[in-house]
Amino acid sequence: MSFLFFELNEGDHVVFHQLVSVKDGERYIVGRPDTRTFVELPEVGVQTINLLQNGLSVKEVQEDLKKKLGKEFDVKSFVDELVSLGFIKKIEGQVVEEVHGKKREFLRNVKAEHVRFLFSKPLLWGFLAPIIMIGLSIMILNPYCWPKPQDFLFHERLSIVLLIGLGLGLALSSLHELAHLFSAKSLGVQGSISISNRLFYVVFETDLTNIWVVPRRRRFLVYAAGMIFDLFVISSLTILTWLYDIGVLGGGGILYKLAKATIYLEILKVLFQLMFFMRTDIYFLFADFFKCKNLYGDTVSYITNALSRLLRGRIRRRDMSFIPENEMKVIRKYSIFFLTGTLITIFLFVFQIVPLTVAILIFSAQILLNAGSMDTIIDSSVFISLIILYSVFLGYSLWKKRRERLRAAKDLGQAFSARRDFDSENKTTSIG
Amino acid sequence: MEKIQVRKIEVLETTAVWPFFDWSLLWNSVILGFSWDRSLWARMGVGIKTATFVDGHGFQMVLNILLIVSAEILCPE
Repeated sequence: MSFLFFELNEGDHVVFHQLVSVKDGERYIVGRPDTRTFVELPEVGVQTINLLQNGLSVKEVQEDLKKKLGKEFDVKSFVDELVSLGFIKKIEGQVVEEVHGKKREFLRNVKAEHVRFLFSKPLLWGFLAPIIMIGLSIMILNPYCWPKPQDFLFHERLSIVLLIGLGLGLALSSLHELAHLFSAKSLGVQGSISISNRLFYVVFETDLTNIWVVPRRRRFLVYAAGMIFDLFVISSLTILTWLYDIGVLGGGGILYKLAKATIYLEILKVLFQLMFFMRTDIYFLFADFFKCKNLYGDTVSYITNALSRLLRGRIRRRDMSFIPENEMKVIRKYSIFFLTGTLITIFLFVFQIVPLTVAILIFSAQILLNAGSMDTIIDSSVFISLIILYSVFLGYSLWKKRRERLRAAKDLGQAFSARRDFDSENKTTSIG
Repeated sequence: MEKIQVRKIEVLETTAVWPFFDWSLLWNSVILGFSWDRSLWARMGVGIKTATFVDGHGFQMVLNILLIVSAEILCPE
């Protein structure tokens, strides 16, 4: 990775990377899709970019805006910000930066035309919606159909329950994320899937930042696609198991038990989405419904500022003056939910999950050390392996996030260093 | 001179929780599902004790205790 720095002068001309923009209310969302970096700009910001793209220099744009709008705008510092976001490719023919890495595109060959039918109105309203309605109605009207924790124990051997449960869950979580990805692809937007975490929960994550360029009303289906898939699985399996219960369908046995276990696993997945004090699918539905552009980040800033007041300025305050009042109203209310949910989750993790996991790990280790029956040794080994696997993924995700933060801080440090070099040498500087 | 406000907006990342049954969700679904009407914190204390002192009945029993028995102990009705 290299970082180049170029001092911007008022007479300079700039060349942009490929940007997209969409009007969103009174403001505009502008972004660079290949790095999935998006910002919200006022109309004058978009006008400035258009004028710069038309070949005007920084100074000429400033004069043009003054003539048209009767105000003087700080175009130079605006362009500086666009450079730091990675929107600008060249200044006076010189490449200015190569820091912002391009993001991967998952299943790149799957195009909109391949998956559009999956999200067509006839399929959604004519097939998926009725199945979900029927399945949920059966569940509500028949209390014996309600998922129970016992359903998860679909086999007498724990190791079989855990391993098949893992395989089933892996498949269901992957399909949940593919539903999001394909719904985005049906709108012509690419994304990527990776492993990440929400607090101490390991999650599959699909980066769909580019859907900011899609009109707002069409974004909701993308957020909801994963849960629609979950509800479809729950409902269709509920219908099948109910038909078996009333004697219409034959079979049963292990398949019946597996179906019950799958319903229970899927219910847990939906419950997880309801914990939207973390950035779950429902969080994005909620945030976009209330037209918030960075609800999570702004809520953290709001709480930081409240703490700063409490600690009499020992924590640095964050500027929130630019956030519209309608968003501030949501941020104030959401911050209560955010704080309560986060604190309860951390409390449960420290005082419930860790002691439970440690207790069972000790118990499993004792079984291994005391060489119990082969069955219990296998059960213990599988259990310990899965806990280790979970811990490895959680550790990897936390390490990855820390590495990204450190890299961003390093890049910023290089930028400042480059600026100092430039100031002292008054020429273009390159740092390898 | 007026500043042109640039506001960085959120990275959109949808999620699905890790498939291996999640202790917190599973355990809490037991607690909430079976004994919604009682003091949550007291019940959790009992639950942890139940899991810690279980012995000698095979590993399957541990999971049973986590999933079923403890909930029944906590909610004897």
